[in-house]
Amino acid sequence: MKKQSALLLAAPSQERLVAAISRRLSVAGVIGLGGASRFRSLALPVFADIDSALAQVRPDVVCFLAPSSRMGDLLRQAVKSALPVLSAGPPDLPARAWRALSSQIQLSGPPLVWGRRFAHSDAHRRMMELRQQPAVGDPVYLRCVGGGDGGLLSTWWSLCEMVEQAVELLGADPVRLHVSAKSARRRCNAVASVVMANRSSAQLVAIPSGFPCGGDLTLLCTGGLLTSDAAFGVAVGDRSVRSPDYWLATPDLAPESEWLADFAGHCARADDPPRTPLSAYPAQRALLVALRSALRRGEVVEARAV
Amino acid sequence: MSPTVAQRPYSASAACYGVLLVSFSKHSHQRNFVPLYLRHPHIRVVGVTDDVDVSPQQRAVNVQWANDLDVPYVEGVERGLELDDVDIVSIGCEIERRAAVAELAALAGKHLWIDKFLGATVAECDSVVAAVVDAGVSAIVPSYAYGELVRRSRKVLDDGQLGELLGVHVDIMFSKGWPRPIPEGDRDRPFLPPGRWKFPDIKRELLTVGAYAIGLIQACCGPIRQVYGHAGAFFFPEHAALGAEDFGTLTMVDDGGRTASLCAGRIGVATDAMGGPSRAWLVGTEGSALVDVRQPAIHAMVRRQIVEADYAPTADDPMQWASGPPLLGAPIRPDAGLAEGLEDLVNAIDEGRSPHYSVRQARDNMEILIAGYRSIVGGTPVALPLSV
Repeated sequence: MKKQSALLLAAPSQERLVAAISRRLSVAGVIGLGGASRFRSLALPVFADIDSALAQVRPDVVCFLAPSSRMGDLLRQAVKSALPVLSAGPPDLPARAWRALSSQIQLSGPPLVWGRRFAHSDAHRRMMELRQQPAVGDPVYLRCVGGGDGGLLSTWWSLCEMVEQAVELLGADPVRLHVSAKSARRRCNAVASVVMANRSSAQLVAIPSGFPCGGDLTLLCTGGLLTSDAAFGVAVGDRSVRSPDYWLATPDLAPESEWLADFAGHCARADDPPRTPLSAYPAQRALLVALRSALRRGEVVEARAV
Repeated sequence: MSPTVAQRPYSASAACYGVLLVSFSKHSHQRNFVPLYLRHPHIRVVGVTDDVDVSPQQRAVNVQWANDLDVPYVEGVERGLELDDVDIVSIGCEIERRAAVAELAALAGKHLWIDKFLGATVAECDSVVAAVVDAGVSAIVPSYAYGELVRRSRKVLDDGQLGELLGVHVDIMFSKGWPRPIPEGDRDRPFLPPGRWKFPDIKRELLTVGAYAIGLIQACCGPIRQVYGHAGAFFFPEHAALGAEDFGTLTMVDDGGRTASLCAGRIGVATDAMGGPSRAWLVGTEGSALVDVRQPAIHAMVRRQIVEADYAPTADDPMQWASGPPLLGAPIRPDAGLAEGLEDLVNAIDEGRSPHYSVRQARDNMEILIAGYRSIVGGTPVALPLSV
C-alpha cells in the first residue's frame, strides 16, 4: 500500500516529534505555529495554513499535534477539501460554530477524530494488561501527569486526554470533575480532580513542560499499586537533550507515530477509524470553561455537563 | 518495647534538657521518639506520666516504659510536671487529650514536643497556640517539616531552577495493614464527618497520612484558601464499617492562586518495595521537578525473602501503626526528619525562639484537613479560614 501522507500542524517545540513521525509515514509539510522562521531546522516545507499547503501538496490526512486559535478556520478548510482530520485534542469553537461544523461532518464530511494518543502508548497498553490480572483488584485512584507547551489550549488538551485515559484505567465514567489552575508567564499548571462512577478517583496534572502526555502514571487498586516511569530517560538516537555526558538510553515511546499511522491506514482503507463521538464535545468544552474560570478566579471550579 | 539504647550518662557540665514523656498511647509515636531522646547529648528522659484515669492497659504500658527507662512513673500529668528537671514535655496521648495537656504544660513554663495534631478541633488548636504564645515557650510539631521530602523540595525551590512556583502535587501512601474485602452493605455508608479521631482499631487515614503532604505544601506555597476533597474506604472493612476513610485526596489553592493536590492513605502491605510512595511534583514557570524520596535506592531482591515469605502483621498491631512490613530495599539517603526536628527544638530553646515548624503551622495544617473533611461531606469546595 502506498505510504500515507500527512500534513501536520505543529509547534516549534515539536520538531523532534515531527521528525519521528516522518520516519513512520510521509509528511507532506507542516503548518508551523509561530511562522516558518521558527522551523528552520526542519527539512520539510512549512505552510501558513491548509489552503496554501494544498496549493503545493496533496496530503491524505491532516493532523493537529498542537492547538491553535485558528483551529476553527483550519478545520473548515480541511472539511471543504474532504481531508480527514486527526487532532491531539478537541477544537475550541463557540457553540454555533461547533453545531455548524458537527452537522457538516455528520452529514457527509470526512472523519474528524481527536484524542486517544494514549491508546497507542506501550506504557498504557502494558498498564491495562497488568490491571486485568484478578489479583490487582478494583481501581481506587489514578495519578497522571502530562505535559504541554503551557498555554491554555495545550493544557486543556492534556487534561482532556488524561480524562479519557482515566476512564479506561479506572473502568468508569466521570461523575464529578473539578479544576484548579495557576498560570504565570504564559505557563499553566492545572489539575483535574475527577470522581468516577465506581467510587474511584483521579488527579490529573497538566504541567507546562515537554513531558509526554500521561508520562507519569500511578494506578492504585485494592490489590496493588501499578506505576510507570516510562517518561524518564533519553530515546536512543536522540542527541539533543542529553546532559551531562551520561544518560539512560530508552526506546522512543512517543505514541504519536503509531496513532497517526493507524488513523491514516483506516482512512486509506475507507473503513471506519475509531471516531471520537461528537457527543463527547460538550463535556470537554465544559472542562475548558472550568479551566478558564479557575484561572480567572484562583479557585477550585466544578466543570458542569460532566 | 524496651529501648535499644541506654541513656547517655548525664553530664553536669553540658546544657541538658529534661524530657517528661506524657503517655505511650498506641495512637501516638512516643515509642519512636524515645531513641532520639536517648541519643541526643543534651537531652535526658526524667519521667513518664499520664492522666490518673487512663485505662489499666494504658497504665501498664506507661509503667513498663518507665521501668525500662529507669525513670519514675507519676500518676497525673499535673504531678508529673512538678518533677525536678522537666524542661520539655513530649506529648504522646490521643488527639482528643492533647490540647489540654499542651496547655497545662505551657502554663507550667515547659517547652513542648507534640506528636502531630495539637487538638481535635481548630478551636482546640487555637487554644494551644494562644497558650504557647502567652507562656513564651518553644513548641514543635516535628513530623511534617523536617523530613527528606520537604528538605529536598525546598532545595529545588531555593535553587531557583523552576522559576515561579505554579503548583505542588504530592502522593504519600503507607504500604501497611492487611486489606480484606469490604462487605457490600458497608460500601456506601454516609461519610463520617470530622471531629472524632480516636477509634480502637482505625485511624482516619486522610488525617494521619495527609498531614505529611500538607506539611510539604505549607513549606512550598502560601496560606491555603480553598480545599476540595474526596475520600472513602477501599481497603479495610474496619474503616468502611464506620464510614471512615482509608484513602483520600485533596485539591487546594493558596492565596496566590497556586494549585496543590495530594493523595494519602493506608493501602496494604506489599504494594511498594520501600513502604509506600512518597513523592512530589513541583511545577514552575521554568521547569518541573519530581522529588521522590524512595530514589535513589538500593533495590534488594533476595530469593529466600520473597519465595519463603509467610508474612502478616502482628495481632497487636494489625494496621501497623508502630511497625512495618519487610522492605525490598532502602533509599540511599535515610530520612532523619525527627532527629532534625529535635535539633531544631533544642536550638530554639537555646536561642529563645520558636522552632521552624511550630504550633501555628500545625494549627493551620489541622484547619486544612478539617476543611478537606467538610468538603468531602458536602461534596463542594470549602473556603479557608474556616468559621470555627
